[in-house]
Amino acid sequence: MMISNIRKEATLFHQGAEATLYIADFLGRPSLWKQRVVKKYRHECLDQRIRTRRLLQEVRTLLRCRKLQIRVPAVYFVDPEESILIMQYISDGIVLKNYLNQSNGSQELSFIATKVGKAVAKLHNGSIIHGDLTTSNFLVVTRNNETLLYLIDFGLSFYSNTEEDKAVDLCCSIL
Amino acid sequence: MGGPLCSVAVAARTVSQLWRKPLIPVNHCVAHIEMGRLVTGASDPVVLYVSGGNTQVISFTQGRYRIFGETIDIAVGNCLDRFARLINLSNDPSPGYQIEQMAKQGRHFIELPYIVKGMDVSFSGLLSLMEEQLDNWLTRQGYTVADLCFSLQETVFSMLVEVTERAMAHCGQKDVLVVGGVGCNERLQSMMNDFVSIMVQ
Repeated sequence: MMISNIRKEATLFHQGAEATLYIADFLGRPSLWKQRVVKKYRHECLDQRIRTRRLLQEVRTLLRCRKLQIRVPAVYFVDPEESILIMQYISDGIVLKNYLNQSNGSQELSFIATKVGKAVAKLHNGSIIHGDLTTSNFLVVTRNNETLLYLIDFGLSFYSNTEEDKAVDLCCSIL
Repeated sequence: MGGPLCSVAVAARTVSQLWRKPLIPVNHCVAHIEMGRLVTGASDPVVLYVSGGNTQVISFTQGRYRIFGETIDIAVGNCLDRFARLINLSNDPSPGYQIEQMAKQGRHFIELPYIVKGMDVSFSGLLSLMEEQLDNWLTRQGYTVADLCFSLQETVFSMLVEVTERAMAHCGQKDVLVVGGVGCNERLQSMMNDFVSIMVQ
């Protein structure tokens, strides 16, 4: 398949804990490639299972988020065999953690905190549990004087409508 | 917990009076970390604190130790100890050690619940499932006790290494310090070693 050809032209964007992110062209669009890496320390069976499960869950949740009009990157292509997810590259996005470090003034903080709260509320009202709500997993985008918040990294997400799961999602978050 | 803590407190007071030394209260968890730092010389590590009573991932940021992840139910050591009791392993020198020795003979990997929630972990569901399925696995499915020990270790330690990895990525730290009783487990040590050596490359 063409995947391997395009990957040769990909540039490394970020090496995360679980996946490596590349930027490459996908059918004329700048796109972000997320490849879940093999963890040598894990048992082979366990590793394969975890990577496949998380990739598929991530895609499912991304699609569901779009239906619920929650801002997430668009899914372009999925290759479960190679654990690759190709999605929209949000070039002007700043990771919330960095945004908070740069920002000044409590007004700006409370503004962005409200945005975060509303985004999570929308997610939970749609029965989606993110599973890893940290300041690394929000992207802040400023476009035409408007501040938008994107949610990313849904590998640990799942569907649930119970208060307990939602509460755990919040209490386990490092915000 | 009450009984043993009481006995040790009496012993500590006795020793302090015998030798006329002041008795200084120390935070248990911080003592674990500081002892580890003293011995290893690690300056600013991410700490995985794993014992029979605690399971936490800790990092020193903004002037204090902060818990980035922890168990949301039972500790990993508690899970191992209780499983050892289910399969009648000896307590000498410790149930965890017996599981570790048993696991070396394990050949088949059984899929067990792998519960990671962000940087937090959970073991109680895993233990319940093992309690429930134990008989089925051993008598009907033909797995051995060694297979169970092996699968249990692989699963819970993978969870621990993964949350440590997440915390390191989040805090941007490069060193790991494993403290607490479960830290003696050589399989956990070797997994952590594999993970760190990949990171160094």
